[in-house]
Amino acid sequence: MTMLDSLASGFAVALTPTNLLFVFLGVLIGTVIGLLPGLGPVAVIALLMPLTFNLDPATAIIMLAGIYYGAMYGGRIPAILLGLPGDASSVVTVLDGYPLTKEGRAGSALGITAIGSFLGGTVAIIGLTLLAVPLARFAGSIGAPEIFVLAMLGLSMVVFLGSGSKLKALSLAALGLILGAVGLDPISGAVRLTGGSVNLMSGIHIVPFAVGLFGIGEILYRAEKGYYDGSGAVKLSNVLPTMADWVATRVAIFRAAILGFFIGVMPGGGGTISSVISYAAERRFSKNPERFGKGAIDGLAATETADNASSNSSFIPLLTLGLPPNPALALMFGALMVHNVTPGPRLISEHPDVFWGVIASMFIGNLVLLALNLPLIRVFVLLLRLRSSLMAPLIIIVAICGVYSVQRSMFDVGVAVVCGALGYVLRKFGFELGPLILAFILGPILEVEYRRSMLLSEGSLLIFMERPVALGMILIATIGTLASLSYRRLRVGRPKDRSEASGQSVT
Amino acid sequence: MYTFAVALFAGWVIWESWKVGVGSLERPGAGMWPLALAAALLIISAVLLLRSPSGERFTAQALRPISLVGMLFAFIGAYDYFGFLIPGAVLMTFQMKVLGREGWLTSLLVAVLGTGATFYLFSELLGANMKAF
Repeated sequence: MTMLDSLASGFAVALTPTNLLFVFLGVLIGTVIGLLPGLGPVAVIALLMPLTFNLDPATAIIMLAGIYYGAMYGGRIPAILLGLPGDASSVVTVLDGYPLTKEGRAGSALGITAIGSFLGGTVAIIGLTLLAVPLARFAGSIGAPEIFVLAMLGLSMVVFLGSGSKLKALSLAALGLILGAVGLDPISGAVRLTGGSVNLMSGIHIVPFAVGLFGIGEILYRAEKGYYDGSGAVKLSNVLPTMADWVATRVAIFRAAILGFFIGVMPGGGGTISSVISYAAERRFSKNPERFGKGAIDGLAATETADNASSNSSFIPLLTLGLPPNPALALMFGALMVHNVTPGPRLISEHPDVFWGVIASMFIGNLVLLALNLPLIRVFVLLLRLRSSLMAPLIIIVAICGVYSVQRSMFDVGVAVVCGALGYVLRKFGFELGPLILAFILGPILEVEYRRSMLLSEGSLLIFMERPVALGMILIATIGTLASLSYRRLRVGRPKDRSEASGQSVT
Repeated sequence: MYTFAVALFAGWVIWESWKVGVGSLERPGAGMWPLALAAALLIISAVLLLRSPSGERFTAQALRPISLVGMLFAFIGAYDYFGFLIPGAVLMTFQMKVLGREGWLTSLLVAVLGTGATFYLFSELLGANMKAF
């Protein structure tokens, strides 16, 4: 099958009425929930995942992908209108988005965000389509040692490239890996770390873990800090960006789309890192860098475009290699596993409908995002009138039902509450939750591939050095980490430092 | 304080992993992976403990989320006896009235409607099969 044939069959899947309905619903619900102040995209995906479990795998992922970009866009709205970032990646949005609102140009800001996101996403999806088959073929030719190294690479990047204390991130990664090991040992079948509990024998399920950590945890944190009072709704004068805005931003958008695409493919990329780097790059290229931070619409366009481009391109490692590069996709991975679909090199041959259907649906989803957001901006802004004191309890109840519905178990709800308490405590003490969930998902993969590698090499650790691909990756990882660490040390006063100072947690 | 608890947890993991059987680095047993991780976690926690603590302090405001956690566990316990709807409505009312300082009418109205609608969505439309009462 040629690529075009496969893509065509993918569109056949994506364009069925059911899948069209669900991508629309996903984008809509994701945007609406994502715009509630305080919930980042990861929390939204975690909360809404249970809604997809009764669907086919392809439909489920199509809906979840829709929720993902819906939530990412939705999170921009309070960032731009209220200066309230819902998660780390919208911190950069606030820098130029909020000043634009104060200038009375909120409509332009929101409109450029929608358009930039659309263009960035489209570029990324085209890249994804072109790269998908060659990468899947490459992925098919690599073995356990390479997968182990890649997964290690992905986890390390998230740990070392996050803002905040590396040591804390590392400890959470270790904790996440341990929690991922609770239950039956995948290779020998021995029961471990359950403390005698029968309920834990199949391990801690991703849904209670994620919903608890991000959803309930966030609400617990908000309960202490005080609730958002609904005062943020702003009158929008112009809803669409002007021609002048477009001229000012189109080069920025083009640059950011390419940059975002490549960063998103890398392990650890996607979301925050791509928006920060694009913003910094745009500032470097700008003739008037002092405008940045005061309402530079090209800076805003760059962040948003890169963000959406990387969100879309980060599906590449997930679909072809089976390795989620960031927390949001770690949840997608979990969702796929619930449907008994294992992402990875075999996905393209075993479930081509899922693989190509998802890619085709991403084109459609991006389009829906644009189509929904430009006209409905005023409606969404009205939603900002909802007080958190009313929304938070509703979210808790939905979370409880969602978690219960996965395995029909109140024990799971208990797990979620415990994870919520953990999430709350971690936020209080300044830990970022990203490494925890990524480690939780990657843990079983890492362990299995390590032990398989040992079986292959009959006990020799040298196997990682002997195989050229694995060795190559290790070298790239080392060089990359050293380079990024020294790069960060050299750059003082970058937006990233401001985001660390504002102390937002990564979701 | 959190780090101390984590260190204790790591210790427990090490003990449990040892019980399951560790094997060697070249031929790992079931316990090797969690043991190695817990050892690393222990070391990192020790280093973190020695450094000056960062993050926020716990004030009386923390009673709010703590009380919510308590109510959540109470809900889970009450579910077996009273089903979903009543404990759920109580939970929501607590959050709105006590934590959110909403009025009685708003709290009860939103609680009953919210609990009912969510129950309907999940139990009837999505097949979660929860006990209503």
